[in-house]
Amino acid sequence: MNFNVGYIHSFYDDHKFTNDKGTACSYTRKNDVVGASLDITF
Amino acid sequence: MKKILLIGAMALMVSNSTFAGGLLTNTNQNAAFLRNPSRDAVIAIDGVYSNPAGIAFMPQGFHLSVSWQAAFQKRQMDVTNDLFKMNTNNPNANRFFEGTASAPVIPSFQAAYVINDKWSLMGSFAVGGGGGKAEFEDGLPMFEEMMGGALVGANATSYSLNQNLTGKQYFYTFMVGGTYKLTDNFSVFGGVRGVLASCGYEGVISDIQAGGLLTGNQNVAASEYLQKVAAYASMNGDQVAAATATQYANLMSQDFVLDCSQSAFGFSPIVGLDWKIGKLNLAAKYEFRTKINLENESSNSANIEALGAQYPMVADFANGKKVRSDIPALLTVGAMYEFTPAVRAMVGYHQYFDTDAEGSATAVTDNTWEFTAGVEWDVNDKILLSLGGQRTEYGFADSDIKDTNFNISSYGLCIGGAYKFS
Repeated sequence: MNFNVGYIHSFYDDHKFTNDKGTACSYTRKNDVVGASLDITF
Repeated sequence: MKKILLIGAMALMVSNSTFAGGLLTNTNQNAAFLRNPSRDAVIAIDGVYSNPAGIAFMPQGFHLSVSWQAAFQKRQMDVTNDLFKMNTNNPNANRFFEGTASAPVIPSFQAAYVINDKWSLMGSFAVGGGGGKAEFEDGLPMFEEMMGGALVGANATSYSLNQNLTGKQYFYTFMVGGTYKLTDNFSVFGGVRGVLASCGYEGVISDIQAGGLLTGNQNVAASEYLQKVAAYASMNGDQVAAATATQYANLMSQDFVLDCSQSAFGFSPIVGLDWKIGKLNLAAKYEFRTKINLENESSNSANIEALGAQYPMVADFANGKKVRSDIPALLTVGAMYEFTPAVRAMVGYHQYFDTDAEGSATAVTDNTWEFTAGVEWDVNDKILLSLGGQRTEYGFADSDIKDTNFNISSYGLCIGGAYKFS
Protein backbone atom coordinates (compact mmCIF):
# COMPACT_ATOMS: atom_id res chain seq x y z
CA MET A 1 0.00 0.00 0.00
CA ASN A 2 1.46 3.35 -1.12
CA PHE A 3 0.43 6.86 -0.19
CA ASN A 4 1.37 9.54 -2.73
CA VAL A 5 1.35 13.29 -2.26
CA GLY A 6 2.22 15.91 -4.84
CA TYR A 7 2.02 19.54 -5.83
CA ILE A 8 2.32 21.33 -9.15
CA HIS A 9 2.75 25.04 -9.74
CA SER A 10 2.46 26.34 -13.27
CA PHE A 11 4.39 29.35 -14.55
CA TYR A 12 2.44 30.87 -17.41
CA ASP A 13 3.83 33.06 -20.13
CA ASP A 14 2.91 36.75 -19.71
CA HIS A 15 1.14 37.55 -22.94
CA LYS A 16 1.28 41.26 -23.88
CA PHE A 17 -0.46 42.68 -26.93
CA THR A 18 -2.68 45.48 -28.22
CA ASN A 19 -6.05 44.34 -29.49
CA ASP A 20 -8.09 45.69 -32.40
CA LYS A 21 -9.87 48.11 -30.05
CA GLY A 22 -6.58 49.78 -29.19
CA THR A 23 -6.54 48.28 -25.71
CA ALA A 24 -3.10 47.43 -24.34
CA CYS A 25 -3.44 43.99 -22.73
CA SER A 26 -1.31 41.84 -20.45
CA TYR A 27 -2.75 38.38 -19.81
CA THR A 28 -1.46 35.65 -17.55
CA ARG A 29 -2.68 32.80 -15.39
CA LYS A 30 -1.82 31.23 -12.07
CA ASN A 31 -2.41 27.59 -11.37
CA ASP A 32 -1.76 25.39 -8.34
CA VAL A 33 -2.89 21.81 -7.87
CA VAL A 34 -2.32 19.66 -4.80
CA GLY A 35 -3.37 16.07 -4.30
CA ALA A 36 -2.91 12.68 -2.71
CA SER A 37 -3.62 9.13 -3.70
CA LEU A 38 -3.67 5.73 -2.06
CA ASP A 39 -2.51 2.68 -4.01
CA ILE A 40 -3.66 -0.69 -2.73
CA THR A 41 -2.75 -4.16 -3.94
CA PHE A 42 -4.91 -7.15 -3.02
CA MET B 1 -22.35 47.90 -31.97
CA LYS B 2 -22.35 44.66 -33.89
CA LYS B 3 -19.61 43.35 -31.66
CA ILE B 4 -22.19 43.03 -28.92
CA LEU B 5 -23.19 39.95 -30.79
CA LEU B 6 -20.06 38.10 -29.73
CA ILE B 7 -21.37 37.66 -26.20
CA GLY B 8 -22.16 34.02 -26.68
CA ALA B 9 -18.84 33.15 -28.22
CA MET B 10 -17.01 34.57 -25.24
CA ALA B 11 -18.74 32.28 -22.86
CA LEU B 12 -17.43 29.33 -24.82
CA MET B 13 -13.91 29.72 -23.57
CA VAL B 14 -14.08 31.00 -20.02
CA SER B 15 -13.82 27.63 -18.37
CA ASN B 16 -11.45 25.67 -20.57
CA SER B 17 -8.24 24.00 -19.51
CA THR B 18 -8.36 24.12 -15.76
CA PHE B 19 -5.56 21.62 -15.24
CA ALA B 20 -2.40 20.39 -16.90
CA GLY B 21 -2.67 19.09 -20.42
CA GLY B 22 -4.22 19.96 -23.75
CA LEU B 23 -7.12 22.18 -24.67
CA LEU B 24 -9.71 19.63 -23.55
CA THR B 25 -7.50 16.98 -21.96
CA ASN B 26 -6.36 16.72 -18.35
CA THR B 27 -3.21 14.64 -18.01
CA ASN B 28 -3.22 14.85 -14.22
CA GLN B 29 -5.66 11.99 -13.74
CA ASN B 30 -3.91 10.69 -10.62
CA ALA B 31 -2.16 12.59 -7.81
CA ALA B 32 1.06 10.73 -8.70
CA PHE B 33 1.25 13.09 -11.68
CA LEU B 34 1.60 16.02 -9.28
CA ARG B 35 4.79 14.62 -7.75
CA ASN B 36 6.26 13.69 -11.14
CA PRO B 37 4.43 14.57 -14.40
CA SER B 38 6.50 12.25 -16.58
CA ARG B 39 4.26 9.19 -16.30
CA ASP B 40 4.17 8.00 -19.93
CA ALA B 41 6.42 4.98 -19.32
CA VAL B 42 5.84 4.17 -15.66
CA ILE B 43 4.85 0.71 -14.56
CA ALA B 44 2.44 1.52 -11.76
CA ILE B 45 -1.29 1.55 -11.07
CA ASP B 46 -1.70 5.17 -12.25
CA GLY B 47 -0.38 3.87 -15.57
CA VAL B 48 -3.95 2.69 -16.24
CA TYR B 49 -4.27 6.21 -17.63
CA SER B 50 -0.72 7.20 -18.58
CA ASN B 51 0.77 3.85 -19.72
CA PRO B 52 -1.93 1.18 -19.82
CA ALA B 53 0.22 -1.33 -21.69
CA GLY B 54 2.70 -1.24 -18.80
CA ILE B 55 0.08 -2.75 -16.47
CA ALA B 56 1.01 -6.11 -18.01
CA PHE B 57 4.31 -5.99 -16.11
CA MET B 58 2.76 -5.42 -12.68
CA PRO B 59 2.50 -8.29 -10.19
CA GLN B 60 -0.46 -10.60 -10.55
CA GLY B 61 -3.47 -9.61 -8.49
CA PHE B 62 -5.86 -6.69 -8.04
CA HIS B 63 -4.52 -3.13 -7.88
CA LEU B 64 -6.48 -0.02 -6.98
CA SER B 65 -5.60 3.66 -6.73
CA VAL B 66 -8.00 6.21 -5.26
CA SER B 67 -6.98 9.80 -5.84
CA TRP B 68 -7.98 13.28 -4.71
CA GLN B 69 -6.81 16.57 -6.17
CA ALA B 70 -7.67 20.22 -5.53
CA ALA B 71 -7.00 22.89 -8.15
CA PHE B 72 -6.95 26.66 -7.77
CA GLN B 73 -6.48 28.97 -10.70
CA LYS B 74 -6.58 32.67 -11.57
CA ARG B 75 -6.80 34.31 -14.99
CA GLN B 76 -5.62 37.88 -14.86
CA MET B 77 -5.97 40.72 -17.34
CA ASP B 78 -4.30 44.12 -17.04
CA VAL B 79 -5.80 46.36 -19.72
CA THR B 80 -5.37 50.02 -20.66
CA ASN B 81 -7.76 52.04 -22.83
CA ASP B 82 -8.85 55.70 -22.57
CA LEU B 83 -12.40 54.51 -23.28
CA PHE B 84 -12.60 53.13 -19.74
CA LYS B 85 -12.26 56.67 -18.31
CA MET B 86 -15.84 57.29 -19.49
CA ASN B 87 -17.21 54.53 -17.29
CA THR B 88 -18.70 56.48 -14.40
CA ASN B 89 -18.62 53.35 -12.20
CA ASN B 90 -14.82 53.09 -12.51
CA PRO B 91 -13.34 56.01 -14.50
CA ASN B 92 -9.79 54.68 -14.91
CA ALA B 93 -7.90 53.93 -18.12
CA ASN B 94 -5.97 51.15 -16.37
CA ARG B 95 -8.18 48.29 -15.30
CA PHE B 96 -7.65 44.86 -13.79
CA PHE B 97 -9.98 41.95 -14.50
CA GLU B 98 -9.62 38.59 -12.80
CA GLY B 99 -11.30 35.25 -13.19
CA THR B 100 -11.04 32.66 -10.46
CA ALA B 101 -11.48 28.95 -10.95
CA SER B 102 -11.46 26.43 -8.16
CA ALA B 103 -12.11 22.72 -7.89
CA PRO B 104 -11.50 21.65 -4.28
CA VAL B 105 -12.39 18.00 -4.83
CA ILE B 106 -11.36 16.24 -8.03
CA PRO B 107 -11.78 12.51 -7.54
CA SER B 108 -10.41 9.74 -9.71
CA PHE B 109 -9.61 6.05 -9.51
CA GLN B 110 -7.72 3.48 -11.50
CA ALA B 111 -8.13 -0.26 -11.05
CA ALA B 112 -6.38 -3.20 -12.70
CA TYR B 113 -6.52 -6.96 -12.41
CA VAL B 114 -3.43 -8.76 -13.63
CA ILE B 115 -4.93 -12.16 -14.36
CA ASN B 116 -1.86 -14.15 -15.28
CA ASP B 117 1.44 -13.83 -17.09
CA LYS B 118 -0.35 -12.85 -20.33
CA TRP B 119 -3.60 -11.02 -19.62
CA SER B 120 -4.75 -8.10 -17.51
CA LEU B 121 -7.90 -6.01 -17.35
CA MET B 122 -8.38 -2.45 -16.14
CA GLY B 123 -10.81 0.41 -15.70
CA SER B 124 -10.72 4.02 -14.54
CA PHE B 125 -12.72 7.14 -13.80
CA ALA B 126 -11.43 10.71 -13.88
CA VAL B 127 -12.30 14.23 -14.88
CA GLY B 128 -10.54 13.91 -18.21
CA GLY B 129 -11.17 17.44 -19.39
CA GLY B 130 -12.22 20.80 -17.95
CA GLY B 131 -13.04 20.24 -14.33
CA GLY B 132 -13.58 23.66 -12.89
CA LYS B 133 -15.88 26.60 -12.55
CA ALA B 134 -14.44 29.94 -13.63
CA GLU B 135 -16.04 33.14 -12.44
CA PHE B 136 -15.30 36.65 -13.68
CA GLU B 137 -17.04 38.78 -11.06
CA ASP B 138 -16.45 41.97 -13.05
CA GLY B 139 -16.97 40.36 -16.42
CA LEU B 140 -14.52 40.70 -19.26
CA PRO B 141 -12.91 43.81 -20.74
CA MET B 142 -14.26 42.87 -24.16
CA PHE B 143 -17.81 43.43 -22.94
CA GLU B 144 -16.96 46.91 -21.78
CA GLU B 145 -15.10 47.69 -24.99
CA MET B 146 -18.14 46.60 -26.97
CA MET B 147 -20.88 48.24 -24.93
CA GLY B 148 -18.95 51.36 -24.00
CA GLY B 149 -17.47 51.67 -27.47
CA ALA B 150 -20.90 51.38 -29.09
CA LEU B 151 -22.43 54.03 -26.84
CA VAL B 152 -19.50 56.40 -27.27
CA GLY B 153 -19.88 55.78 -31.01
CA ALA B 154 -23.42 57.12 -30.58
CA ASN B 155 -21.91 60.33 -29.13
CA ALA B 156 -22.23 59.37 -25.46
CA THR B 157 -19.72 61.16 -23.25
CA SER B 158 -20.17 58.71 -20.39
CA TYR B 159 -21.51 55.22 -19.78
CA SER B 160 -21.77 52.60 -17.08
CA LEU B 161 -22.69 48.95 -16.83
CA ASN B 162 -22.46 45.94 -14.53
CA GLN B 163 -21.38 42.54 -15.72
CA ASN B 164 -20.36 39.10 -14.54
CA LEU B 165 -19.76 35.78 -16.18
CA THR B 166 -19.43 32.21 -14.96
CA GLY B 167 -18.58 29.09 -16.91
CA LYS B 168 -18.12 25.48 -15.89
CA GLN B 169 -16.97 22.52 -17.87
CA TYR B 170 -16.64 18.89 -16.79
CA PHE B 171 -15.68 16.00 -19.04
CA TYR B 172 -16.18 12.88 -16.90
CA THR B 173 -14.14 10.06 -18.37
CA PHE B 174 -14.62 6.31 -17.96
CA MET B 175 -12.20 3.82 -19.50
CA VAL B 176 -12.06 0.03 -19.72
CA GLY B 177 -9.48 -2.07 -21.49
CA GLY B 178 -7.06 -4.95 -21.40
CA THR B 179 -3.44 -5.82 -22.09
CA TYR B 180 -1.83 -8.85 -23.66
CA LYS B 181 1.83 -9.68 -23.23
CA LEU B 182 3.11 -10.77 -26.65
CA THR B 183 6.56 -11.66 -25.30
CA ASP B 184 8.19 -11.51 -21.89
CA ASN B 185 9.13 -7.87 -22.52
CA PHE B 186 6.53 -6.55 -24.97
CA SER B 187 2.85 -5.86 -24.34
CA VAL B 188 -0.04 -4.23 -26.16
CA PHE B 189 -3.16 -2.52 -24.88
CA GLY B 190 -6.62 -1.88 -26.30
CA GLY B 191 -9.47 -0.05 -24.62
CA VAL B 192 -12.39 2.27 -25.02
CA ARG B 193 -13.08 5.57 -23.32
CA GLY B 194 -16.50 7.06 -22.68
CA VAL B 195 -16.86 10.78 -21.98
CA LEU B 196 -19.85 12.43 -20.35
CA ALA B 197 -19.61 16.18 -20.99
CA SER B 198 -21.45 18.67 -18.80
CA CYS B 199 -20.97 22.41 -19.33
CA GLY B 200 -22.78 25.56 -18.25
CA TYR B 201 -22.50 29.27 -18.92
CA GLU B 202 -24.19 32.09 -17.08
CA GLY B 203 -23.61 35.76 -17.82
CA VAL B 204 -25.34 39.07 -17.24
CA ILE B 205 -24.74 42.55 -18.57
CA SER B 206 -27.07 44.82 -16.65
CA ASP B 207 -27.78 48.44 -15.77
CA ILE B 208 -26.38 49.75 -19.03
CA GLN B 209 -26.48 53.53 -18.95
CA ALA B 210 -25.23 56.37 -21.12
CA GLY B 211 -25.13 60.14 -21.04
CA GLY B 212 -24.30 62.97 -23.41
CA LEU B 213 -25.46 66.35 -24.64
CA LEU B 214 -28.91 64.94 -25.35
CA THR B 215 -29.34 64.05 -21.66
CA GLY B 216 -27.58 67.07 -20.16
CA ASN B 217 -24.49 64.91 -19.63
CA GLN B 218 -26.38 62.82 -17.08
CA ASN B 219 -26.43 59.04 -17.34
CA VAL B 220 -29.81 57.54 -18.15
CA ALA B 221 -30.80 54.05 -19.24
CA ALA B 222 -28.94 53.19 -22.45
CA SER B 223 -32.22 52.43 -24.24
CA GLU B 224 -33.56 55.87 -23.28
CA TYR B 225 -30.36 57.52 -24.44
CA LEU B 226 -30.45 55.67 -27.76
CA GLN B 227 -34.11 56.62 -28.28
CA LYS B 228 -33.10 60.25 -27.93
CA VAL B 229 -30.28 59.64 -30.43
CA ALA B 230 -32.81 58.08 -32.82
CA ALA B 231 -35.22 61.00 -32.45
CA TYR B 232 -32.44 63.50 -33.01
CA ALA B 233 -31.19 61.63 -36.11
CA SER B 234 -34.71 61.40 -37.50
CA MET B 235 -35.26 65.10 -36.93
CA ASN B 236 -32.11 65.76 -38.96
CA GLY B 237 -33.21 63.47 -41.79
CA ASP B 238 -30.76 60.63 -41.11
CA GLN B 239 -33.25 57.77 -41.17
CA VAL B 240 -30.57 55.06 -41.36
CA ALA B 241 -28.92 56.25 -38.15
CA ALA B 242 -32.34 56.62 -36.57
CA ALA B 243 -33.29 53.05 -37.44
CA THR B 244 -29.99 51.67 -36.14
CA ALA B 245 -30.28 53.57 -32.87
CA THR B 246 -33.87 52.39 -32.46
CA GLN B 247 -32.84 48.78 -33.07
CA TYR B 248 -30.20 48.91 -30.38
CA ALA B 249 -32.41 50.86 -28.02
CA ASN B 250 -34.78 47.91 -28.19
CA LEU B 251 -31.96 45.44 -27.58
CA MET B 252 -30.77 47.39 -24.54
CA SER B 253 -34.22 47.80 -23.09
CA GLN B 254 -33.55 44.74 -20.93
CA ASP B 255 -30.50 43.07 -19.39
CA PHE B 256 -28.49 40.67 -21.53
CA VAL B 257 -28.82 37.32 -19.76
CA LEU B 258 -27.05 34.19 -20.95
CA ASP B 259 -28.08 30.97 -19.23
CA CYS B 260 -27.05 27.87 -21.13
CA SER B 261 -26.36 24.29 -20.03
CA GLN B 262 -24.78 21.77 -22.37
CA SER B 263 -24.37 18.03 -22.23
CA ALA B 264 -23.18 15.23 -24.49
CA PHE B 265 -21.73 11.74 -24.53
CA GLY B 266 -18.89 10.50 -26.70
CA PHE B 267 -16.52 7.57 -26.86
CA SER B 268 -13.24 6.69 -28.52
CA PRO B 269 -10.73 3.82 -28.67
CA ILE B 270 -7.31 3.89 -27.04
CA VAL B 271 -4.33 1.72 -27.96
CA GLY B 272 -0.89 1.40 -26.41
CA LEU B 273 2.30 -0.61 -26.22
CA ASP B 274 5.13 -1.13 -23.77
CA TRP B 275 8.61 -2.51 -24.46
CA LYS B 276 11.06 -3.37 -21.70
CA ILE B 277 14.73 -3.43 -22.70
CA GLY B 278 16.74 -4.21 -19.61
CA LYS B 279 16.78 -1.11 -17.41
CA LEU B 280 14.98 0.90 -20.09
CA ASN B 281 11.22 0.93 -20.52
CA LEU B 282 9.62 2.47 -23.60
CA ALA B 283 5.92 3.09 -24.01
CA ALA B 284 3.42 4.77 -26.33
CA LYS B 285 -0.30 5.44 -26.29
CA TYR B 286 -2.74 6.86 -28.80
CA GLU B 287 -6.13 8.24 -27.79
CA PHE B 288 -8.39 8.65 -30.79
CA ARG B 289 -10.39 11.84 -31.27
CA THR B 290 -13.60 11.86 -29.23
CA LYS B 291 -16.57 13.38 -31.02
CA ILE B 292 -18.51 15.54 -28.58
CA ASN B 293 -21.78 17.03 -29.82
CA LEU B 294 -23.05 19.24 -27.00
CA GLU B 295 -26.80 19.86 -26.81
CA ASN B 296 -28.01 23.12 -25.30
CA GLU B 297 -30.68 23.62 -22.69
CA SER B 298 -31.01 27.40 -22.44
CA SER B 299 -33.06 30.07 -20.72
CA ASN B 300 -31.56 33.16 -22.32
CA SER B 301 -33.11 36.62 -22.33
CA ALA B 302 -35.19 37.59 -25.34
CA ASN B 303 -32.55 40.01 -26.64
CA ILE B 304 -29.95 37.21 -26.67
CA GLU B 305 -32.38 35.02 -28.58
CA ALA B 306 -33.11 37.89 -30.96
CA LEU B 307 -29.43 38.30 -31.69
CA GLY B 308 -29.14 34.58 -32.23
CA ALA B 309 -31.61 34.71 -35.07
CA GLN B 310 -29.20 36.98 -36.90
CA TYR B 311 -25.77 35.85 -35.80
CA PRO B 312 -24.54 32.21 -35.69
CA MET B 313 -22.17 32.77 -32.74
CA VAL B 314 -25.04 33.71 -30.45
CA ALA B 315 -27.28 31.10 -32.00
CA ASP B 316 -24.82 28.48 -30.70
CA PHE B 317 -26.38 29.06 -27.26
CA ALA B 318 -29.99 28.77 -28.38
CA ASN B 319 -32.15 26.22 -26.63
CA GLY B 320 -31.89 22.80 -28.30
CA LYS B 321 -28.94 23.73 -30.50
CA LYS B 322 -26.12 21.18 -30.92
CA VAL B 323 -22.51 22.40 -30.81
CA ARG B 324 -19.38 20.34 -31.56
CA SER B 325 -16.54 20.38 -29.04
CA ASP B 326 -14.36 17.38 -29.89
CA ILE B 327 -11.57 16.16 -27.62
CA PRO B 328 -8.48 16.11 -29.86
CA ALA B 329 -6.59 12.89 -30.48
CA LEU B 330 -3.44 12.46 -28.40
CA LEU B 331 -0.20 10.56 -28.97
CA THR B 332 2.09 10.05 -25.97
CA VAL B 333 5.53 8.48 -25.97
CA GLY B 334 7.74 8.01 -22.96
CA ALA B 335 10.87 6.41 -21.62
CA MET B 336 11.95 5.40 -18.13
CA TYR B 337 15.50 4.37 -17.23
CA GLU B 338 16.65 2.78 -14.01
CA PHE B 339 20.08 4.22 -13.23
CA THR B 340 20.32 2.29 -9.97
CA PRO B 341 17.79 0.11 -8.14
CA ALA B 342 16.83 3.27 -6.21
CA VAL B 343 16.97 6.01 -8.86
CA ARG B 344 14.82 6.27 -11.99
CA ALA B 345 14.50 9.04 -14.58
CA MET B 346 11.68 9.59 -17.04
CA VAL B 347 10.92 11.70 -20.09
CA GLY B 348 7.75 12.00 -22.13
CA TYR B 349 6.29 13.80 -25.12
CA HIS B 350 2.63 14.53 -25.90
CA GLN B 351 1.34 15.49 -29.31
CA TYR B 352 -2.25 16.69 -29.48
CA PHE B 353 -4.00 16.80 -32.86
CA ASP B 354 -6.06 19.92 -32.22
CA THR B 355 -6.39 20.95 -35.85
CA ASP B 356 -8.24 17.72 -36.67
CA ALA B 357 -10.88 18.23 -33.98
CA GLU B 358 -14.17 19.98 -34.64
CA GLY B 359 -15.32 22.63 -32.22
CA SER B 360 -13.51 25.31 -30.26
CA ALA B 361 -10.11 23.67 -30.74
CA THR B 362 -10.23 24.24 -34.50
CA ALA B 363 -9.26 27.89 -33.98
CA VAL B 364 -5.68 26.81 -33.30
CA THR B 365 -2.93 27.62 -35.77
CA ASP B 366 -0.88 24.58 -34.83
CA ASN B 367 -1.16 21.53 -32.58
CA THR B 368 -0.41 21.54 -28.87
CA TRP B 369 2.67 19.67 -27.64
CA GLU B 370 4.09 18.90 -24.21
CA PHE B 371 7.43 17.69 -22.92
CA THR B 372 7.84 16.19 -19.48
CA ALA B 373 10.82 15.04 -17.42
CA GLY B 374 11.12 13.67 -13.93
CA VAL B 375 13.23 11.72 -11.49
CA GLU B 376 12.33 9.44 -8.59
CA TRP B 377 14.54 8.37 -5.68
CA ASP B 378 13.77 5.56 -3.28
CA VAL B 379 15.35 7.03 -0.17
CA ASN B 380 14.79 3.74 1.63
CA ASP B 381 12.31 0.86 1.61
CA LYS B 382 9.54 3.17 2.82
CA ILE B 383 10.08 6.64 1.37
CA LEU B 384 10.19 7.84 -2.23
CA LEU B 385 10.89 11.43 -3.31
CA SER B 386 10.24 12.77 -6.79
CA LEU B 387 10.63 15.92 -8.82
CA GLY B 388 9.65 16.84 -12.33
CA GLY B 389 8.56 19.46 -14.79
CA GLN B 390 6.72 19.95 -18.00
CA ARG B 391 6.40 22.46 -20.84
CA THR B 392 3.02 22.90 -22.51
CA GLU B 393 3.07 24.82 -25.78
CA TYR B 394 -0.27 25.70 -27.36
CA GLY B 395 -0.54 26.27 -31.08
CA PHE B 396 -2.19 29.68 -30.99
CA ALA B 397 -0.93 32.72 -32.84
CA ASP B 398 -0.36 35.77 -30.63
CA SER B 399 -3.44 37.42 -32.11
CA ASP B 400 -5.62 34.50 -31.01
CA ILE B 401 -4.98 35.02 -27.28
CA LYS B 402 -7.85 37.14 -25.97
CA ASP B 403 -10.58 37.26 -23.33
CA THR B 404 -12.19 34.29 -25.00
CA ASN B 405 -9.02 32.25 -25.23
CA PHE B 406 -6.90 32.01 -22.11
CA ASN B 407 -4.88 28.99 -23.19
CA ILE B 408 -1.43 30.44 -22.49
CA SER B 409 1.65 28.25 -22.76
CA SER B 410 3.28 27.33 -19.47
CA TYR B 411 5.95 25.54 -17.50
CA GLY B 412 4.95 23.28 -14.64
CA LEU B 413 7.08 22.35 -11.64
CA CYS B 414 6.10 19.24 -9.70
CA ILE B 415 7.31 17.92 -6.37
CA GLY B 416 6.16 15.25 -3.96
CA GLY B 417 6.73 11.84 -2.56
CA ALA B 418 5.28 8.53 -1.57
CA TYR B 419 5.26 6.38 1.56
CA LYS B 420 5.07 2.61 1.39
CA PHE B 421 3.07 1.14 4.27
CA SER B 422 3.76 -2.46 3.43
